[in-house]
Amino acid sequence: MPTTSHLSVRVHTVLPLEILPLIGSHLLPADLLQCVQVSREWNAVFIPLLWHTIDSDRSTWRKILHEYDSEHLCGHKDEQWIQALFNKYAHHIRCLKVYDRDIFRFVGQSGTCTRLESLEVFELDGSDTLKEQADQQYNIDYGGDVAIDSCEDAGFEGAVLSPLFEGAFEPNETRCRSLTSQKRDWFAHQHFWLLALTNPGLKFLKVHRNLWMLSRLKRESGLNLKILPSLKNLVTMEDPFSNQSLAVILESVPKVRHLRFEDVSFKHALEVTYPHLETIVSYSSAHIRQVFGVLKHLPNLTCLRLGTVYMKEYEYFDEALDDWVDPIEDPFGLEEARAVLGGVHCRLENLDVGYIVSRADIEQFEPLFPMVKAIKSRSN
Amino acid sequence: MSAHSQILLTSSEGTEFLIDRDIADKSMLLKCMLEDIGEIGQAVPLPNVSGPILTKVIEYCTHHRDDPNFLSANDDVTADIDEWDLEYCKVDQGTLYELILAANYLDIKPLMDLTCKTVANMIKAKSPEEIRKTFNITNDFTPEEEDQVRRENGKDWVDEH
Repeated sequence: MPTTSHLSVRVHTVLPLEILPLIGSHLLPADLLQCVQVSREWNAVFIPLLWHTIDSDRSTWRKILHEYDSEHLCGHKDEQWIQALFNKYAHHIRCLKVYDRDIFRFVGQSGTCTRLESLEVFELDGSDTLKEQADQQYNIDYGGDVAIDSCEDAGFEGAVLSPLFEGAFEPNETRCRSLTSQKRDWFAHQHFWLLALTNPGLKFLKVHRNLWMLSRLKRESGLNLKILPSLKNLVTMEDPFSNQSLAVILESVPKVRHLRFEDVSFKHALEVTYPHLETIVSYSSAHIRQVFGVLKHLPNLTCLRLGTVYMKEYEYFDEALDDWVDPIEDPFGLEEARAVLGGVHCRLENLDVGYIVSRADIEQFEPLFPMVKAIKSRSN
Repeated sequence: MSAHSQILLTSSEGTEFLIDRDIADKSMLLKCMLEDIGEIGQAVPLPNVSGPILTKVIEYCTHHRDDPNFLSANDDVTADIDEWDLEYCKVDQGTLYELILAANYLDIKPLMDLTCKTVANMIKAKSPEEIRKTFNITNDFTPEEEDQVRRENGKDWVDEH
């Protein structure tokens, strides 16, 4: 290192502490684990980085849970060991990706995981422990009794973690899914909702199973409608398997900016304007009138992806006449489009419609969106 | 604004560097500053960056001056470093650290990523003791602390590399 007579020049021969956090983002958990053991200073810097993102599919976490799960290594001791870790460090977690339901329990019981920014949940019902898989295989092979009708005896109603969940559970009558398994699902789901409630800073929420069906809730419990509105900072909500009305979603999370849902129904008209929504990505189908009815209330929507857009009504079955009926031809043109928008400046930039029924329909469709530079669409 | 305009920078020792505007624009700090206050015709002082380091930073920005993907963030932790960049980072550790600090201060994300990744590669697949040796760090844990840290973060967690 060349020396210089100027005192203002800093010469670092040891790694300056201030750059350690910058390096951390280029390391995987296995290396971060080594870093925390280097020295006190390194420990202080790398512990928050190590715990920043918990992805239970990453090898480290999977290994821990697998050992815990298999119930033949250290037995109960493992569970306490993991819980102690979460108690101590869960307040560092910002991004949580959950494949294993047990993570929910550990996080929930720690009581300190309250600063989440991102929560991603994979199929909670699907991730069975090894023991459950064995039990279920037994049920399939030997037709073991899964006595759903004994649910009440098993104390489901007593197993709620908060008064919020009173009476919300609805056991599913399936032979392959034992009562024990369903109980565990239910606990994980309760922990999911409680975690959402205690993390008002959540910006990103992704559930790989219909959020509205999560927990096999009794429909009237409306649990999601009670809890989602508390997530006031939510920016992105994804639920690739969900079908839900756009009106209902926006009622729960009016300030959300990006929605990615398998199916967003436009059937219910929006009542008020939602200026925050920028993106809708979905595979749903809608009539062109419904599309404009929605656009009217979404002045800042710049990206819209839909599965199919219908340009006209198709024949329907009239029960009174006991016959199929052709609707009266009622084409939707630019003039009506402008009238529906009623002066609302549509800011749509990206429009991607997977399927428009016919070439003639495309010719009607495209002129309706003069503001969109390139429309992606195809027909048969 | 002329595409050929030039900017004068002053390093911490007071050495002046005349560089093209498009090179200066690789630094978000300078770009924003020049956009906000315009080119005032005076040298921009960079008291946090020494002459040799500034030379090295300018070398990087000049090499990547026409790179269309300069700012498209490469977040892939495992992505390989290209050959020129790899050669560029073959400097002593002190210089590497100074480069990180300069890239951070000047806000040149691709240079930040490159230099941080280079240090990260010096950490990867090493034991705590090997890391200490590489970076000349003293183990200041008490035996009890070390035991505790190892129990919480030790072998039970990690898959073999």
